[in-house]
Amino acid sequence: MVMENGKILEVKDLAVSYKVYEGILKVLRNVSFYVLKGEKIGIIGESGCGKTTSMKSIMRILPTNALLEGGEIYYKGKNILKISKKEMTYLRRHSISMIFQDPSTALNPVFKIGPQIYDIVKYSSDRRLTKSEIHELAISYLKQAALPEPERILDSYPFQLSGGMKQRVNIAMSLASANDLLIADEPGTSLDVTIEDQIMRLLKSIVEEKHLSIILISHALGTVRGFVDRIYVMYAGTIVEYGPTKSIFSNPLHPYTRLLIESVPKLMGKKIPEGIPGVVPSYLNPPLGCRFSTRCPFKMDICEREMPQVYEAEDGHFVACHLFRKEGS
Amino acid sequence: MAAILEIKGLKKYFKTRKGTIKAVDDVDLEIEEGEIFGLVGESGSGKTTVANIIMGLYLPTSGEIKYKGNNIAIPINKRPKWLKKEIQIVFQNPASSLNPKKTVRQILEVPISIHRPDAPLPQTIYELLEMVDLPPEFIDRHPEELGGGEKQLVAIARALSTEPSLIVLDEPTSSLDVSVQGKIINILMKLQKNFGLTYIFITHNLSLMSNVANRVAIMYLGKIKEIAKSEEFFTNSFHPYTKMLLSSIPVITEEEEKLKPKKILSTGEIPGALKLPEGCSFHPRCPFVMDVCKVKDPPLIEVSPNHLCSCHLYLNKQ
Amino acid sequence: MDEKVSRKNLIKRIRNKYGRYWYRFKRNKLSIVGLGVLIALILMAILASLITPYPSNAGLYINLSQENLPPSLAHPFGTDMLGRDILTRIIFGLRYSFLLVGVVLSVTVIPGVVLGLIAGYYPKRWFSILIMRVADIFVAVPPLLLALSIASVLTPNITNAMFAVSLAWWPWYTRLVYTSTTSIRNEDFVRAAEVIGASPSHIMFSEIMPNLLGTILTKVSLDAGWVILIGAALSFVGLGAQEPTPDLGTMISEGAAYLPQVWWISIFPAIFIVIIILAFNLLGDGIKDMFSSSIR
Repeated sequence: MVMENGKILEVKDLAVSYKVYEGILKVLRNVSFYVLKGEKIGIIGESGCGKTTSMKSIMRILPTNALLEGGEIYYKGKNILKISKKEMTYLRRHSISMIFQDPSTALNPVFKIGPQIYDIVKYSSDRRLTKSEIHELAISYLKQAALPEPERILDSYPFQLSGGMKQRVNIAMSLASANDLLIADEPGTSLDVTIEDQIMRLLKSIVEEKHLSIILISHALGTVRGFVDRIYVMYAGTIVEYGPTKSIFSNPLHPYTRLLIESVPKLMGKKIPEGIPGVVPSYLNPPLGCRFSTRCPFKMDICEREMPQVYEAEDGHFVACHLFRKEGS
Repeated sequence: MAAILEIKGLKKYFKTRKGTIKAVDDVDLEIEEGEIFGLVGESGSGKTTVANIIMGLYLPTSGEIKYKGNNIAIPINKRPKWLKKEIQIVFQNPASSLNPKKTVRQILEVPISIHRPDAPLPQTIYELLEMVDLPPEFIDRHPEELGGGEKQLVAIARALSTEPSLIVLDEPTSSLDVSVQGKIINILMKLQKNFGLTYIFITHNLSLMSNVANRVAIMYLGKIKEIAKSEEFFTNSFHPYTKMLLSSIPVITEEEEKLKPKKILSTGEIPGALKLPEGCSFHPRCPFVMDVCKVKDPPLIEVSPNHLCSCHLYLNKQ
Repeated sequence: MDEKVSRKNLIKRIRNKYGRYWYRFKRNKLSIVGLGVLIALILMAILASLITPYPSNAGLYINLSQENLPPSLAHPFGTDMLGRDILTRIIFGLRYSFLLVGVVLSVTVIPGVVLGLIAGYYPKRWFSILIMRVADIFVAVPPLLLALSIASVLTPNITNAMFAVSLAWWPWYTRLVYTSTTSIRNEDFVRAAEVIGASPSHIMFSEIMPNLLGTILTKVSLDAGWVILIGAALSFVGLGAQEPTPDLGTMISEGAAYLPQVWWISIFPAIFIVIIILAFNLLGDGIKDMFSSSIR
């Protein structure tokens, strides 16, 4: 397995559209990002910005009306858009796993937790396991997800568990097949704050302990801040800025990132933030140039005409904005 | 200031096959006219049940609830017309609170024709749209043609259309993106100031409350654990649960991080409503639990002026 | 705002809305087939006297010199035991099938829906409980059996057959609408309507009902096929349309005596019944897609 500079996953210039009644929704454009081995990255953006579409592209679970219009996704050096279904299934069973936002819909309500987790354990193993081995493994995953009384959990139906416990079960299940990369799509969003806090701490400790790479998708800046090494900020299907977490928060460059950070109500803030004026442009006829140009307070003429290139503003901190165009380029 | 809404000993028990759920258990509240009162709690805390009782969607099991001195423990379909006009609600999710088959015009016409038969149409609708900062051409749109924030503004316009005095805001921004939340809150604040409205602002988001509310009450499993002025919550909160809530809030700056009480990390689960713990319902998760907490439920007492707390830690310091 | 512009926008939006329904409907090619077949059959039924080769054969007509002729160029589906052209009689028979569907569904759907709405909106009141228990009793008996037993105590003719099928049919709508209403009733938009003081009839018919339209229309379309089948079954056992009315069910039953040698008397009407039912089902699938919000 070849890995370029320790990159376990690299997405290059991904472009995805959806065919709908009104026409073609040009959702993802020029989406590029990478994850290093053992690295924690976060993708933040608001609803409809294409975070989930990006992840579905990686898992190859896009809906039938999606059109993959360009780009490459390299996983351990292999373009997974080109590999066979069988190879993809192998990756899903043994290497990549995903945790969904709503823990209750991710579990089948008519089966007990036991059979659901046994199946995953069984299929994620290279060899045929005995029943007791499967059981032992399931118990160990549940224990890793900090679930008390794992035997009782195995014998419970999903509705008998609280939201937090269900999400722990989902985490336990993903541990069976995530040997390299875990994709967590808003794992705490549907939970209470105190429970979300616990889940995020648990997830972080597991990921660090097992040296997994993780892509955390979230709309909540605060949740991502305490978790990841690097952040990608998405707006309307494009990546507008990325860099180390610390410098994104201490020195946000893209006008969208700045306004987004200002929008979050602060503890003991004296004023209610204004938010960002305007609305996200329609994907049917997105702006020709920068997609934020319709709402940007620093808009220039060029912003309407040309999509900005990505410029390195600081060490490892990149921004796609004409304001940061270097002289002579 | 006079109390616009008085709640005394309010209880709401739901009987189910498996036992009784004490959704609201002995709640006392006084909401003053023109105030923004924050009601904060996690799922199962009973905050939405309180809202539904105020709206007449549920009847209380026992206890008093008075609006401007009048008993309003009346189901919604039996309430007099003036009372329906006076109290309105904005629901959490505008996608479900607006009928998908109706246009904005049809949605706003109904309450106006019921409560203000003399108001001219469609001018009144245009006025309402202007109040909530929506362009007039939205009048013939269906909800599906609007963004989440815009939908919520229509729902706010509907609540305003009867010219109410008290509006219950049930998590009005939690289903919206952070970049539009600010706009919604600012419009709500502007309306509150312009019309002298009273808001009961129900939310799980404590950090929002610090910016918005005058007073905040924290609910946990059907009981009020702490009531105080909103600025006191962050500088000087008493109840361990409040502290746990505060320390769980994800924040985005170092200054905020310093404000958070560091010591209390969130542990344990919110127990199921069917078998509430004996004594103080928070004791299984409380880091300061004492023997007395497991047997006796502490009363809500005034620990410092206008700052009430229900915790054995503060019982003796009175 | 300019009145003209706003009107133009309105028209554009309306066109957009109906266009979207059609877009969803036509995504499934089979729904279009169903719709096309039904339109063709209905046109044939309406124009029966113009397009059939022997219109007089539809009624009382006997020509024993032509009896039991196998399919040929002159009689594509052959002739029956009285020498009548089967194709002609099938096309005229379609009239009765569509009439049955039209009458039964128009007299059952509206009361069924209204009763379901009332019972669903007031789920705990005595009249709702009464409505639902009565509906349950009707539903407990299979519709075919119920229609058969009702028809058997009445004079066998086409009107009574329609009555019998209608009586067996309404509770299905009541139950369907009842279930949907009880769930929509708890939606926030219904609560919001209550809070602003809208009357129960406004809430039932103006807030809840438009949201049930898709479900009801889908069921109507799927049911239409079953109504035809049950109507045919009644005729088959002699409780529906009577000789010489050309009814598909009656024709099958008449031909049954001549099976298997003279197979064409029964088989062709049977094939048409199958085609109609299939077409209505395909249409129903299309209508379901049309109202499904998950298809964009």
